[in-house]
Amino acid sequence: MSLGNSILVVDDVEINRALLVELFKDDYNVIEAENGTQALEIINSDNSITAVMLDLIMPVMDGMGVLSEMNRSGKIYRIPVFIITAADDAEMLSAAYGLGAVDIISKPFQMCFIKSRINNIIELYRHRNELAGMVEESVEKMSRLGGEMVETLATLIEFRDCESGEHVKRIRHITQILMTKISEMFPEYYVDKSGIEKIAMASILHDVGKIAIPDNILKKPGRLSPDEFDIMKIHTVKGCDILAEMPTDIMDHEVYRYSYDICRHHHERWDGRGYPDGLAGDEVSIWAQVVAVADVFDALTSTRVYKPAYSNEKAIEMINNGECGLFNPKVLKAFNEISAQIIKGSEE
Amino acid sequence: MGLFEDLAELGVDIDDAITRFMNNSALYEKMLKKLPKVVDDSAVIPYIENGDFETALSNAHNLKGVMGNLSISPLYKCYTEVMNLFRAGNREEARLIIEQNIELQQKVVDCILKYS
Repeated sequence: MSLGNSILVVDDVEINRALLVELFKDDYNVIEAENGTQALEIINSDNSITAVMLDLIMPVMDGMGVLSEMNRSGKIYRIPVFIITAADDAEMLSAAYGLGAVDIISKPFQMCFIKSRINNIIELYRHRNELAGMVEESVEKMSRLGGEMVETLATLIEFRDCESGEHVKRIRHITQILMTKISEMFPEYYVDKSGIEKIAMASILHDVGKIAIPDNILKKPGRLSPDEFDIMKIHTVKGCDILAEMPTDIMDHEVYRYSYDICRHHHERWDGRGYPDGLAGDEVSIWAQVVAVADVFDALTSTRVYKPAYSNEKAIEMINNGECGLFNPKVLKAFNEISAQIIKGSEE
Repeated sequence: MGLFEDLAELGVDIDDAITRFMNNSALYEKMLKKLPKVVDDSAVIPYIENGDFETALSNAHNLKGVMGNLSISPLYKCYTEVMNLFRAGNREEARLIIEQNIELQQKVVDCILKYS
Protein backbone atom coordinates (compact mmCIF):
# COMPACT_ATOMS: atom_id res chain seq x y z
CA MET A 1 0.00 0.00 0.00
CA SER A 2 1.34 3.46 -0.91
CA LEU A 3 1.98 5.73 2.07
CA GLY A 4 -0.89 8.05 3.00
CA ASN A 5 -2.85 7.41 -0.18
CA SER A 6 -6.52 6.78 0.31
CA ILE A 7 -9.29 6.29 -2.21
CA LEU A 8 -12.83 7.08 -1.15
CA VAL A 9 -15.51 4.87 -2.68
CA VAL A 10 -19.00 6.38 -2.42
CA ASP A 11 -21.92 4.15 -3.38
CA ASP A 12 -25.10 3.17 -1.57
CA VAL A 13 -24.91 -0.40 -2.90
CA GLU A 14 -22.50 -2.53 -0.92
CA ILE A 15 -21.64 -4.84 -3.83
CA ASN A 16 -20.49 -1.88 -5.96
CA ARG A 17 -18.26 -0.65 -3.16
CA ALA A 18 -16.93 -4.18 -2.55
CA LEU A 19 -15.91 -4.48 -6.20
CA LEU A 20 -13.90 -1.28 -6.10
CA VAL A 21 -12.39 -2.18 -2.72
CA GLU A 22 -11.18 -5.47 -4.20
CA LEU A 23 -9.80 -3.64 -7.19
CA PHE A 24 -7.77 -1.06 -5.26
CA LYS A 25 -7.05 -2.58 -1.84
CA ASP A 26 -3.53 -3.70 -2.77
CA ASP A 27 -2.42 -0.24 -3.88
CA TYR A 28 -4.43 2.13 -1.71
CA ASN A 29 -6.14 2.46 1.61
CA VAL A 30 -9.77 2.22 0.47
CA ILE A 31 -12.37 4.08 2.54
CA GLU A 32 -16.09 3.53 1.98
CA ALA A 33 -19.08 5.86 2.29
CA GLU A 34 -22.74 4.98 1.72
CA ASN A 35 -23.97 8.40 0.73
CA GLY A 36 -22.88 11.96 -0.10
CA THR A 37 -23.11 13.29 3.45
CA GLN A 38 -20.78 10.60 4.78
CA ALA A 39 -18.46 11.21 1.85
CA LEU A 40 -18.17 14.94 2.55
CA GLU A 41 -17.45 14.34 6.23
CA ILE A 42 -14.55 12.08 5.22
CA ILE A 43 -13.27 14.41 2.48
CA ASN A 44 -13.29 17.35 4.91
CA SER A 45 -11.54 15.52 7.72
CA ASP A 46 -9.11 13.15 6.01
CA ASN A 47 -6.19 14.78 4.19
CA SER A 48 -4.99 11.48 2.79
CA ILE A 49 -7.84 11.23 0.24
CA THR A 50 -6.17 10.98 -3.18
CA ALA A 51 -9.24 10.28 -5.31
CA VAL A 52 -12.99 9.87 -4.99
CA MET A 53 -15.07 7.29 -6.81
CA LEU A 54 -18.57 8.63 -6.74
CA ASP A 55 -21.94 7.17 -7.65
CA LEU A 56 -24.49 9.77 -8.73
CA ILE A 57 -27.84 8.41 -7.58
CA MET A 58 -27.77 7.87 -3.81
CA PRO A 59 -30.01 8.57 -0.82
CA VAL A 60 -29.43 11.39 1.75
CA MET A 61 -27.11 13.36 -0.52
CA ASP A 62 -26.50 12.37 -4.12
CA GLY A 63 -23.28 12.57 -6.13
CA MET A 64 -24.17 15.95 -7.63
CA GLY A 65 -24.44 17.35 -4.08
CA VAL A 66 -20.94 16.08 -3.29
CA LEU A 67 -19.55 17.54 -6.52
CA SER A 68 -21.20 20.92 -5.87
CA GLU A 69 -19.73 21.13 -2.39
CA MET A 70 -16.25 20.06 -3.53
CA ASN A 71 -16.47 22.62 -6.31
CA ARG A 72 -17.50 25.34 -3.84
CA SER A 73 -14.68 24.52 -1.42
CA GLY A 74 -12.10 24.20 -4.22
CA LYS A 75 -11.24 20.61 -3.21
CA ILE A 76 -12.27 19.46 -6.69
CA TYR A 77 -9.06 21.02 -8.06
CA ARG A 78 -6.85 18.94 -5.75
CA ILE A 79 -8.74 15.63 -5.60
CA PRO A 80 -9.82 13.90 -8.81
CA VAL A 81 -13.43 12.71 -8.72
CA PHE A 82 -14.48 9.81 -10.93
CA ILE A 83 -18.17 9.33 -11.52
CA ILE A 84 -18.96 5.63 -11.54
CA THR A 85 -22.55 5.25 -12.53
CA ALA A 86 -25.16 3.23 -14.34
CA ALA A 87 -26.91 6.48 -15.24
CA ASP A 88 -26.72 7.51 -18.86
CA ASP A 89 -28.64 10.77 -18.64
CA ALA A 90 -26.50 13.03 -20.86
CA GLU A 91 -27.69 16.21 -19.15
CA MET A 92 -26.76 14.94 -15.69
CA LEU A 93 -23.37 13.62 -16.83
CA SER A 94 -22.63 16.90 -18.56
CA ALA A 95 -23.50 18.77 -15.33
CA ALA A 96 -21.12 16.44 -13.44
CA TYR A 97 -18.30 17.34 -15.82
CA GLY A 98 -19.23 20.99 -15.43
CA LEU A 99 -18.80 20.71 -11.65
CA GLY A 100 -15.31 19.29 -12.09
CA ALA A 101 -15.63 15.50 -12.35
CA VAL A 102 -12.48 14.29 -14.04
CA ASP A 103 -13.92 11.21 -15.75
CA ILE A 104 -17.16 9.27 -16.05
CA ILE A 105 -16.98 5.50 -15.89
CA SER A 106 -20.14 3.67 -16.81
CA LYS A 107 -21.37 0.52 -15.12
CA PRO A 108 -20.84 -2.20 -16.08
CA PHE A 109 -17.13 -1.57 -16.13
CA GLN A 110 -14.09 -3.65 -17.02
CA MET A 111 -11.94 -3.91 -13.91
CA CYS A 112 -8.59 -3.82 -15.70
CA PHE A 113 -9.51 -0.68 -17.68
CA ILE A 114 -10.94 1.17 -14.72
CA LYS A 115 -7.81 0.46 -12.71
CA SER A 116 -5.53 1.86 -15.42
CA ARG A 117 -7.70 4.92 -16.05
CA ILE A 118 -7.91 5.79 -12.39
CA ASN A 119 -4.25 5.11 -11.61
CA ASN A 120 -3.13 7.27 -14.54
CA ILE A 121 -5.19 10.23 -13.46
CA ILE A 122 -4.23 9.89 -9.80
CA GLU A 123 -0.59 9.96 -10.90
CA LEU A 124 -1.22 13.07 -12.99
CA TYR A 125 -2.94 14.84 -10.10
CA ARG A 126 -0.18 13.84 -7.71
CA HIS A 127 2.38 15.30 -10.07
CA ARG A 128 0.29 18.42 -10.61
CA ASN A 129 -0.23 18.93 -6.85
CA GLU A 130 3.52 18.54 -6.29
CA LEU A 131 4.23 21.11 -8.99
CA ALA A 132 1.60 23.47 -7.57
CA GLY A 133 3.28 23.16 -4.16
CA MET A 134 6.67 23.93 -5.69
CA VAL A 135 5.30 26.95 -7.55
CA GLU A 136 3.63 28.24 -4.38
CA GLU A 137 6.91 27.84 -2.48
CA SER A 138 8.84 29.66 -5.24
CA VAL A 139 6.34 32.52 -5.37
CA GLU A 140 6.56 32.90 -1.58
CA LYS A 141 10.36 32.85 -1.75
CA MET A 142 10.38 35.42 -4.58
CA SER A 143 8.00 37.64 -2.68
CA ARG A 144 10.16 37.41 0.47
CA LEU A 145 13.32 38.15 -1.52
CA GLY A 146 11.60 41.07 -3.24
CA GLY A 147 10.56 42.46 0.14
CA GLU A 148 14.10 42.07 1.50
CA MET A 149 15.56 43.82 -1.55
CA VAL A 150 13.13 46.70 -1.15
CA GLU A 151 14.04 47.01 2.54
CA THR A 152 17.74 46.91 1.72
CA LEU A 153 17.32 49.61 -0.91
CA ALA A 154 15.38 51.81 1.49
CA THR A 155 18.01 51.36 4.19
CA LEU A 156 20.81 52.31 1.77
CA ILE A 157 19.01 55.55 1.01
CA GLU A 158 18.68 56.26 4.71
CA PHE A 159 22.42 55.75 5.21
CA ARG A 160 23.08 58.17 2.36
CA ASP A 161 20.84 60.64 4.14
CA CYS A 162 22.97 60.15 7.31
CA GLU A 163 20.07 58.38 9.02
CA SER A 164 20.44 55.10 10.83
CA GLY A 165 17.98 53.10 8.78
CA GLU A 166 15.49 53.27 11.63
CA HIS A 167 13.48 55.98 9.86
CA VAL A 168 12.05 53.56 7.26
CA LYS A 169 11.11 51.07 9.97
CA ARG A 170 9.28 53.78 11.92
CA ILE A 171 7.48 55.04 8.82
CA ARG A 172 6.40 51.51 8.05
CA HIS A 173 5.13 50.99 11.59
CA ILE A 174 3.22 54.29 11.75
CA THR A 175 1.77 53.76 8.26
CA GLN A 176 0.54 50.32 9.24
CA ILE A 177 -1.25 51.34 12.44
CA LEU A 178 -2.55 54.65 11.06
CA MET A 179 -3.91 53.01 7.89
CA THR A 180 -5.54 50.29 10.00
CA LYS A 181 -7.19 52.88 12.25
CA ILE A 182 -8.46 54.94 9.30
CA SER A 183 -9.82 51.81 7.69
CA GLU A 184 -11.74 51.02 10.90
CA MET A 185 -13.03 54.56 11.47
CA PHE A 186 -13.88 55.65 7.93
CA PRO A 187 -15.51 53.09 5.61
CA GLU A 188 -14.87 55.32 2.59
CA TYR A 189 -11.14 54.74 3.11
CA TYR A 190 -11.42 50.99 3.84
CA VAL A 191 -8.48 48.86 2.74
CA ASP A 192 -8.30 45.17 3.69
CA LYS A 193 -5.56 43.71 5.90
CA SER A 194 -3.51 42.41 3.01
CA GLY A 195 -3.70 45.80 1.26
CA ILE A 196 -2.53 47.57 4.43
CA GLU A 197 0.46 45.21 4.67
CA LYS A 198 1.37 46.12 1.11
CA ILE A 199 0.94 49.86 1.71
CA ALA A 200 3.19 49.60 4.78
CA MET A 201 5.81 47.77 2.71
CA ALA A 202 5.49 50.36 -0.06
CA SER A 203 5.89 53.25 2.41
CA ILE A 204 9.56 52.44 3.01
CA LEU A 205 10.44 53.51 -0.52
CA HIS A 206 8.84 56.97 -0.13
CA ASP A 207 12.21 58.77 -0.21
CA VAL A 208 13.98 56.59 -2.77
CA GLY A 209 14.33 59.68 -4.99
CA LYS A 210 16.68 61.30 -2.47
CA ILE A 211 19.45 59.22 -4.00
CA ALA A 212 19.33 61.69 -6.93
CA ILE A 213 19.77 64.77 -4.69
CA PRO A 214 23.33 66.17 -4.46
CA ASP A 215 25.13 65.76 -1.11
CA ASN A 216 25.54 69.50 -0.61
CA ILE A 217 21.78 69.88 -0.50
CA LEU A 218 20.79 66.58 1.08
CA LYS A 219 23.30 66.96 3.93
CA LYS A 220 23.28 70.75 4.29
CA PRO A 221 23.46 71.57 8.01
CA GLY A 222 21.05 74.51 7.78
CA ARG A 223 17.97 75.87 6.12
CA LEU A 224 17.79 75.32 2.33
CA SER A 225 17.67 78.31 0.02
CA PRO A 226 14.58 78.54 -2.25
CA ASP A 227 16.62 77.20 -5.19
CA GLU A 228 18.01 74.35 -3.11
CA PHE A 229 14.53 73.55 -1.85
CA ASP A 230 13.30 73.39 -5.46
CA ILE A 231 16.00 70.78 -6.14
CA MET A 232 15.09 68.89 -2.97
CA LYS A 233 11.45 68.78 -4.09
CA ILE A 234 12.31 66.79 -7.19
CA HIS A 235 13.12 63.73 -5.05
CA THR A 236 9.42 62.86 -5.36
CA VAL A 237 9.53 62.76 -9.16
CA LYS A 238 13.00 61.19 -9.25
CA GLY A 239 11.73 58.44 -6.95
CA CYS A 240 9.09 57.56 -9.52
CA ASP A 241 11.74 57.58 -12.28
CA ILE A 242 13.85 55.15 -10.27
CA LEU A 243 10.85 52.88 -9.63
CA ALA A 244 9.96 52.98 -13.32
CA GLU A 245 13.45 51.67 -14.11
CA MET A 246 13.22 48.81 -11.64
CA PRO A 247 12.57 45.32 -13.06
CA THR A 248 8.82 44.73 -12.79
CA ASP A 249 9.15 41.32 -11.18
CA ILE A 250 11.33 42.51 -8.30
CA MET A 251 8.32 43.18 -6.13
CA ASP A 252 4.63 42.44 -5.82
CA HIS A 253 2.65 44.32 -8.46
CA GLU A 254 0.41 46.03 -5.90
CA VAL A 255 3.34 47.02 -3.67
CA TYR A 256 4.93 48.58 -6.75
CA ARG A 257 1.73 50.51 -7.57
CA TYR A 258 1.46 51.82 -3.97
CA SER A 259 5.19 52.69 -3.89
CA TYR A 260 4.96 54.72 -7.07
CA ASP A 261 1.97 56.68 -5.81
CA ILE A 262 3.45 57.25 -2.34
CA CYS A 263 6.81 58.29 -3.78
CA ARG A 264 5.23 60.97 -5.90
CA HIS A 265 2.57 62.27 -3.54
CA HIS A 266 3.84 62.02 0.05
CA HIS A 267 4.59 65.76 0.07
CA GLU A 268 1.17 66.86 -1.22
CA ARG A 269 -1.07 68.68 1.27
CA TRP A 270 -4.83 68.77 1.92
CA ASP A 271 -5.12 72.42 0.77
CA GLY A 272 -3.19 71.83 -2.47
CA ARG A 273 -0.07 73.65 -1.26
CA GLY A 274 2.21 70.63 -1.37
CA TYR A 275 4.34 69.30 -4.20
CA PRO A 276 5.08 68.14 -6.87
CA ASP A 277 1.59 68.28 -8.42
CA GLY A 278 -0.26 70.58 -5.98
CA LEU A 279 -3.07 68.06 -5.62
CA ALA A 280 -5.75 68.88 -3.01
CA GLY A 281 -8.12 66.87 -0.77
CA ASP A 282 -8.81 63.33 -1.87
CA GLU A 283 -7.10 63.88 -5.19
CA VAL A 284 -4.26 62.38 -3.19
CA SER A 285 -4.72 58.69 -2.36
CA ILE A 286 -5.38 57.88 1.29
CA TRP A 287 -2.13 55.87 1.53
CA ALA A 288 -0.04 58.81 0.30
CA GLN A 289 -1.85 61.06 2.82
CA VAL A 290 -1.05 58.57 5.59
CA VAL A 291 2.63 58.34 4.67
CA ALA A 292 2.76 62.17 4.56
CA VAL A 293 1.66 62.38 8.20
CA ALA A 294 3.96 59.50 9.23
CA ASP A 295 6.90 61.15 7.46
CA VAL A 296 6.31 64.55 9.07
CA PHE A 297 5.88 63.05 12.53
CA ASP A 298 9.09 61.07 12.21
CA ALA A 299 11.01 64.04 10.80
CA LEU A 300 9.85 66.26 13.66
CA THR A 301 10.79 63.77 16.36
CA SER A 302 14.20 62.94 14.83
CA THR A 303 17.44 64.87 15.07
CA ARG A 304 18.45 66.17 11.65
CA VAL A 305 21.58 68.01 10.49
CA TYR A 306 19.58 71.23 10.48
CA LYS A 307 17.45 70.79 13.67
CA PRO A 308 17.15 69.05 17.03
CA ALA A 309 14.42 66.48 17.75
CA TYR A 310 11.07 67.71 19.04
CA SER A 311 9.24 65.76 21.72
CA ASN A 312 6.45 63.41 20.59
CA GLU A 313 3.84 65.67 22.23
CA LYS A 314 5.24 68.80 20.57
CA ALA A 315 5.32 67.05 17.17
CA ILE A 316 1.67 65.96 17.51
CA GLU A 317 0.72 69.52 18.48
CA MET A 318 2.59 70.98 15.48
CA ILE A 319 0.90 68.54 13.08
CA ASN A 320 -2.55 69.35 14.48
CA ASN A 321 -1.84 73.09 14.26
CA GLY A 322 -0.95 72.83 10.57
CA GLU A 323 2.63 73.97 11.17
CA CYS A 324 3.87 71.43 8.62
CA GLY A 325 1.07 71.96 6.14
CA LEU A 326 -2.58 70.97 6.29
CA PHE A 327 -3.67 67.35 6.47
CA ASN A 328 -7.01 65.59 5.95
CA PRO A 329 -9.05 66.14 9.19
CA LYS A 330 -10.10 62.47 9.14
CA VAL A 331 -6.47 61.35 8.92
CA LEU A 332 -5.63 63.66 11.82
CA LYS A 333 -8.54 62.31 13.86
CA ALA A 334 -7.28 58.76 13.39
CA PHE A 335 -3.69 59.91 14.04
CA ASN A 336 -4.72 61.45 17.39
CA GLU A 337 -6.58 58.23 18.29
CA ILE A 338 -3.41 56.21 17.89
CA SER A 339 -0.89 58.80 19.08
CA ALA A 340 -0.32 56.96 22.38
CA GLN A 341 0.43 53.80 20.42
CA ILE A 342 2.85 55.69 18.15
CA ILE A 343 4.64 57.26 21.11
CA LYS A 344 4.91 53.89 22.82
CA GLY A 345 6.33 52.40 19.60
CA SER A 346 8.89 55.20 19.26
CA GLU A 347 10.09 54.69 22.84
CA GLU A 348 10.67 50.93 22.39
CA MET B 1 -23.13 -28.66 -12.83
CA GLY B 2 -21.83 -25.82 -10.71
CA LEU B 3 -22.87 -22.26 -9.95
CA PHE B 4 -21.44 -20.76 -13.13
CA GLU B 5 -22.96 -23.44 -15.36
CA ASP B 6 -26.39 -23.04 -13.71
CA LEU B 7 -26.23 -19.27 -14.10
CA ALA B 8 -25.15 -19.60 -17.73
CA GLU B 9 -28.33 -21.58 -18.34
CA LEU B 10 -30.27 -18.59 -17.01
CA GLY B 11 -28.57 -16.29 -19.51
CA VAL B 12 -25.72 -14.96 -17.36
CA ASP B 13 -22.71 -14.20 -19.57
CA ILE B 14 -20.08 -16.00 -17.51
CA ASP B 15 -17.23 -15.49 -20.01
CA ASP B 16 -17.88 -11.76 -20.11
CA ALA B 17 -17.98 -11.67 -16.30
CA ILE B 18 -14.70 -13.56 -15.88
CA THR B 19 -13.01 -11.16 -18.32
CA ARG B 20 -14.53 -8.22 -16.47
CA PHE B 21 -13.16 -9.60 -13.20
CA MET B 22 -9.67 -9.98 -14.68
CA ASN B 23 -9.96 -13.80 -14.67
CA ASN B 24 -10.54 -13.81 -10.95
CA SER B 25 -13.43 -16.24 -10.78
CA ALA B 26 -13.24 -16.46 -6.98
CA LEU B 27 -13.85 -12.71 -6.74
CA TYR B 28 -16.72 -12.98 -9.21
CA GLU B 29 -18.32 -15.73 -7.13
CA LYS B 30 -17.83 -13.67 -3.97
CA MET B 31 -19.62 -10.72 -5.58
CA LEU B 32 -22.41 -12.91 -6.98
CA LYS B 33 -23.17 -14.09 -3.46
CA LYS B 34 -23.91 -10.50 -2.47
CA LEU B 35 -26.62 -10.21 -5.12
CA PRO B 36 -29.58 -11.71 -3.16
CA LYS B 37 -29.30 -8.96 -0.55
CA VAL B 38 -29.13 -6.23 -3.19
CA VAL B 39 -32.25 -7.60 -4.88
CA ASP B 40 -33.97 -7.84 -1.50
CA ASP B 41 -33.08 -4.22 -0.67
CA SER B 42 -33.97 -2.80 -4.07
CA ALA B 43 -37.55 -3.74 -4.84
CA VAL B 44 -39.08 -1.46 -7.46
CA ILE B 45 -42.71 -2.44 -7.97
CA PRO B 46 -43.93 -1.71 -4.38
CA TYR B 47 -42.61 1.84 -4.70
CA ILE B 48 -44.31 2.36 -8.06
CA GLU B 49 -47.55 1.19 -6.44
CA ASN B 50 -47.07 3.58 -3.48
CA GLY B 51 -46.32 6.48 -5.79
CA ASP B 52 -42.76 6.81 -4.44
CA PHE B 53 -41.19 7.13 -7.87
CA GLU B 54 -37.95 8.59 -6.57
CA THR B 55 -37.16 5.43 -4.60
CA ALA B 56 -38.42 3.23 -7.45
CA LEU B 57 -36.04 5.02 -9.83
CA SER B 58 -33.13 4.86 -7.39
CA ASN B 59 -33.63 1.11 -6.83
CA ALA B 60 -33.95 0.37 -10.54
CA HIS B 61 -30.74 2.36 -11.07
CA ASN B 62 -28.97 0.26 -8.43
CA LEU B 63 -30.17 -3.00 -9.98
CA LYS B 64 -29.11 -1.87 -13.45
CA GLY B 65 -25.56 -1.18 -12.21
CA VAL B 66 -25.22 -4.42 -10.27
CA MET B 67 -26.72 -6.64 -12.98
CA GLY B 68 -24.38 -5.03 -15.47
CA ASN B 69 -21.26 -5.47 -13.37
CA LEU B 70 -22.14 -9.13 -12.72
CA SER B 71 -22.90 -9.71 -16.43
CA ILE B 72 -26.44 -10.89 -15.68
CA SER B 73 -27.26 -9.72 -19.17
CA PRO B 74 -31.04 -10.33 -19.45
CA LEU B 75 -31.68 -8.46 -16.20
CA TYR B 76 -29.22 -5.69 -17.08
CA LYS B 77 -31.16 -5.25 -20.32
CA CYS B 78 -34.43 -5.27 -18.36
CA TYR B 79 -33.37 -2.52 -15.92
CA THR B 80 -31.76 -0.44 -18.65
CA GLU B 81 -35.12 -0.41 -20.40
CA VAL B 82 -36.92 0.30 -17.12
CA MET B 83 -34.68 3.34 -16.53
CA ASN B 84 -35.36 4.63 -20.05
CA LEU B 85 -39.10 4.21 -19.54
CA PHE B 86 -38.96 5.96 -16.16
CA ARG B 87 -37.13 8.89 -17.71
CA ALA B 88 -39.75 9.05 -20.45
CA GLY B 89 -42.43 9.15 -17.71
CA ASN B 90 -43.83 5.78 -18.76
CA ARG B 91 -44.09 4.14 -15.34
CA GLU B 92 -46.78 1.60 -16.20
CA GLU B 93 -44.73 0.11 -19.01
CA ALA B 94 -41.67 0.09 -16.74
CA ARG B 95 -43.67 -1.89 -14.19
CA LEU B 96 -44.76 -4.31 -16.92
CA ILE B 97 -41.16 -4.96 -17.99
CA ILE B 98 -40.16 -5.70 -14.38
CA GLU B 99 -43.10 -8.06 -13.93
CA GLN B 100 -42.06 -9.94 -17.06
CA ASN B 101 -38.55 -10.42 -15.64
CA ILE B 102 -39.29 -10.93 -11.96
CA GLU B 103 -39.42 -14.72 -12.32
CA LEU B 104 -36.01 -14.82 -14.00
CA GLN B 105 -34.62 -12.53 -11.29
CA GLN B 106 -35.92 -14.88 -8.62
CA LYS B 107 -34.38 -17.88 -10.38
CA VAL B 108 -30.98 -16.17 -10.47
CA VAL B 109 -31.24 -15.33 -6.77
CA ASP B 110 -32.36 -18.86 -5.87
CA CYS B 111 -29.51 -20.34 -7.89
CA ILE B 112 -26.95 -18.21 -6.04
CA LEU B 113 -28.52 -19.03 -2.69
CA LYS B 114 -28.30 -22.72 -3.51
CA TYR B 115 -24.51 -22.45 -3.68
CA SER B 116 -24.09 -20.05 -0.75
